[in-house]
Amino acid sequence: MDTGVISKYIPIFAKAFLLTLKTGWLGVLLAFLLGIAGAFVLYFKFPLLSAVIKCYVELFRNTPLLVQLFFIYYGLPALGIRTSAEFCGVLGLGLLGGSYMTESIRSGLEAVPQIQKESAVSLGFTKKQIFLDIILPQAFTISIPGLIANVIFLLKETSVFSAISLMDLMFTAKDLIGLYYDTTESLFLLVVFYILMLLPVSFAGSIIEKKTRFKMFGD
Amino acid sequence: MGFEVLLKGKNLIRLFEGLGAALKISLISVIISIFLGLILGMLMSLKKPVINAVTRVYLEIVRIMPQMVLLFIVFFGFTKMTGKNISAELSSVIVFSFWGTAEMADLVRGCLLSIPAIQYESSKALGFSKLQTYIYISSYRR
Repeated sequence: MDTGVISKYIPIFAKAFLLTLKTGWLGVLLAFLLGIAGAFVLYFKFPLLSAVIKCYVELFRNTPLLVQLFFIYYGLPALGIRTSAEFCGVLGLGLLGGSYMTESIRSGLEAVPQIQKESAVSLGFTKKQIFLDIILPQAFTISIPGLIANVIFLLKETSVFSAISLMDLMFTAKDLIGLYYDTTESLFLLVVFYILMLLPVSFAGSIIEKKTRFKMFGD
Repeated sequence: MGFEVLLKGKNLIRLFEGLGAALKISLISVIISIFLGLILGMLMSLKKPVINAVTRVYLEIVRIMPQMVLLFIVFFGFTKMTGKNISAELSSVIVFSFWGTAEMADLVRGCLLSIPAIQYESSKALGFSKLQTYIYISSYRR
């Protein structure tokens, strides 16, 4: 381990770190939007749309991100659409995450006991009130652990972006190892930066999980 | 679309060889991680502070590190540190077993802890020893 080499590499890794952070969180944001939309479509059982969403979820949950990225990165230019690697990365991550988010939000919505809905009906709530005030808050707390696990999973998955020549942490480490053969130092910094990126998320996640947990009736 | 390229030369055979390699690696890692995961999960459900602290760190590492990083550490880092060369296949089996064991252990622990306390109390009342409780009550309910 050579401290001189490490201090020389830190700025290079910091640049890659920022890029990884940006693409990762943009992807997570897109995944949340897609997931919420998809889950609502599935929950309210819109006729044609829900079949489409079901196909989308199955397709993206059962293929690795690397394969999806290859399709997006090499497939879009073949269709005449030219984009940057960054956009492809965010799009791929968002689409993959969207399918996972759809599943966890939908399962949260469906896990709310039927009795809650019936009680609300008998108390004279309108349909809108039932959904917004009764179902949604409970579904939210149920799906929180799954959503946090998904966020961590998605941020971890950014490591395959190196395959579409996006200058992320993984790509930088591979590059530096190939160029200068400082394997130990590069790997050390790689681990440090991934910890820096994900440990706060993991901690914040467990705090949020504790804060939002509530006792169900009969627990 | 150019699908003919699949049938040219040895392309199709090579693709299937890739499938075989992926299957082999995943099968071996699945078997290893089921065994180790079962044992580790049982240890975790004992609630001993030292075991808990160690496994918590282990699970957090697995949760946070991308598999690519782990693969890099094993494949490049190990070689650099010890000077011994390990094959790509062996290093991926190591990494996927390491990762799978953590996931499996967490599942086993969750299942063991979800057994109602009344089951343990009843077995005690019936005069079962600790080992008997474990074998006949816990593992069946899982």
